[in-house]
Amino acid sequence: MGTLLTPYVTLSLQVLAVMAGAVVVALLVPRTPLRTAVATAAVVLLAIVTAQQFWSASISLDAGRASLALAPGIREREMCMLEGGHPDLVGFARWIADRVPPGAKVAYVTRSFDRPCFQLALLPRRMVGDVAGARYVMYLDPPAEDVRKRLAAERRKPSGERTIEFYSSWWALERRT
Amino acid sequence: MRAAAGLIALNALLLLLGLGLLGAIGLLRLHVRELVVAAPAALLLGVAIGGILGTTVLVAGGTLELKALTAGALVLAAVLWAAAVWRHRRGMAVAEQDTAPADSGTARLDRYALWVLVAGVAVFVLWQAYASRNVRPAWDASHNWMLKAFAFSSGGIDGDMFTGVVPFSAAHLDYPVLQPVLGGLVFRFAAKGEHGLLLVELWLLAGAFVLAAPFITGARHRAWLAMLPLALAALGLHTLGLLRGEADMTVAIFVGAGGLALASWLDGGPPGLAVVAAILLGGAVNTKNEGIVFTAGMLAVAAVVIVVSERRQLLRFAGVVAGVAALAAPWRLWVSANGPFGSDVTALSTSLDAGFLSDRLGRLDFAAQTLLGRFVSYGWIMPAFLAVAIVLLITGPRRRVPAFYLFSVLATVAAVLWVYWTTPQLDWAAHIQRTSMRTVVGPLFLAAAGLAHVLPRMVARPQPLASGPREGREVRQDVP
Repeated sequence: MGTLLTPYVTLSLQVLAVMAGAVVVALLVPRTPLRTAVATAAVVLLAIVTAQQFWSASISLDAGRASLALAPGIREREMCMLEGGHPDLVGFARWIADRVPPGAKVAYVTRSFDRPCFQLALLPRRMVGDVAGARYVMYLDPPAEDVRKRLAAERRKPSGERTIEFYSSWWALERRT
Repeated sequence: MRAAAGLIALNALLLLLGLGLLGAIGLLRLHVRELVVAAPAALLLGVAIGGILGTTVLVAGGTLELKALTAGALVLAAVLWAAAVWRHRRGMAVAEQDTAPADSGTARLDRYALWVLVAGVAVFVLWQAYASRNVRPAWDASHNWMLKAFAFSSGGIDGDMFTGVVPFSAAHLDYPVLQPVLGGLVFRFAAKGEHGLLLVELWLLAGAFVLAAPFITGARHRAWLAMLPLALAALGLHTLGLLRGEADMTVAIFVGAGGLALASWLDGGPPGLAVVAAILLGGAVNTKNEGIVFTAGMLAVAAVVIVVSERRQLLRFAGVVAGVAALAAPWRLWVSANGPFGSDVTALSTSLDAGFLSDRLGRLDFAAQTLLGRFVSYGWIMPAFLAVAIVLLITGPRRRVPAFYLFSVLATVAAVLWVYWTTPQLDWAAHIQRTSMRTVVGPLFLAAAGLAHVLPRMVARPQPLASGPREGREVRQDVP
């Protein structure tokens, strides 16, 4: 029986049920044209369903809003980092935002990570791929060996001589003049 | 308070644009009562116009500058209102022929039903908008719709967010940007970038869609019957997508309202409805790629209907098609200039192959069962629509309206099925399950629009659909 009631069959039965409702209307009100009878059946059905659906929609919307609430201490544009399993990026995004002025462009040298999500947190700063021409360059666990060597060398310098500011060993921001 | 004032100012501006346009094309007289009745449709038009103009500004390299955009919109509104006043003074506006029946018990009941429904929709929408003001963006919105909306509130189309094809592929860079533009405008006017503010606007849009039906269809008697199916579709069933900040609801609203306007024009409505249809469908094609496909399907069905039954309207219909194409052009030009972008749809060069398709028949069956399952579980809109459309097609004699709706709905369903049948997704079953709750919304809203169009006439006055050159339009008639 379970396999018999496929959506094909169920939808067909629902259409037939509306037609059956039209027959009932025609029986209750003699000489009702078929089109009026089917429309009346449809209206009665929709009116009942609408009243019920407004109620159930309100309940599911409340549940939906509860599931889309903010986590404590997290801003709405940072939530996707939490959802993506990278709460560690939240602090880094805030650290970058404190150092790069709004509207500035910041290049990125990174391993694969959720760029749209990070960009959302950084807005109105714009992430760009052009590292060579960038005023700000963000390093986030860069994969290239030469870049890692450069970061390591920079880290060994006294803090006053560095051109790269470090958030952690491999997460950093370079400010170019 | 500042945010609320900004939101009100933006909607007042959009309303001004929409009402001006409706007056300029002769769809309403400048009377307070008519302006109120037309306001929901005007808001839909205003959002479409504002979104398309904003998209054009961004494509041209500009940004959504508050002062420049406001000044431009006011100038445009002034021109439209001047045209509306000119038409009004020359008596060229469409007359509202109030053929209200005597104050019978039935008429009183209809009025009560109308006001109960209007009040119910208004209270529901306003409450939901208020309750949604602090909702954060969900995953998809964070990666696409809201990301771009926040970006447009502070700049134009630049940075990797729009051109970094590979690293930003999750942002679906080729997707049209009307909803993000609307978000950018909301944030600009509100002087605040919060997701909940856009949700408030989307709730208003959903409410406007429901309340616009009587104006677009011209149904004044038993007008509540025009609103009932739309209320069920737009407010009762699919609102979780709206809460998540997805654009499927927005595109479905434009597809439904645009289809309603197009069919009302095909049904003998005033020529101005063709303009309304072109702009609303222009909104659909600028909101999501699905909007392009749904609109193309709808226009193809309308072309066949016109060729078969109303060839003298062919030239005007060509104008509608040209109008939609022109409104779609700015974003499509940007995509062709900045692409190619990655796509999660298989190219026709690959999918139009018998072997390719026959290998995936299982997907087609699964997709069809999933979509029909959604139709079955999402209220009784689709079964009611199918029953009504089939009866109207059988009983005739004037079959153009049910044929347009039935085959348009089938075309939109077929388009979704085609995408699922040929999807390159490896986890196609999960993909279909996950996305079908969004993709059914367009066909469902169109089916609801079909019911909104025909139910008032079928229940109240069955004869207009069956005779006469302007059959089906109860009140709106051109003044000679």
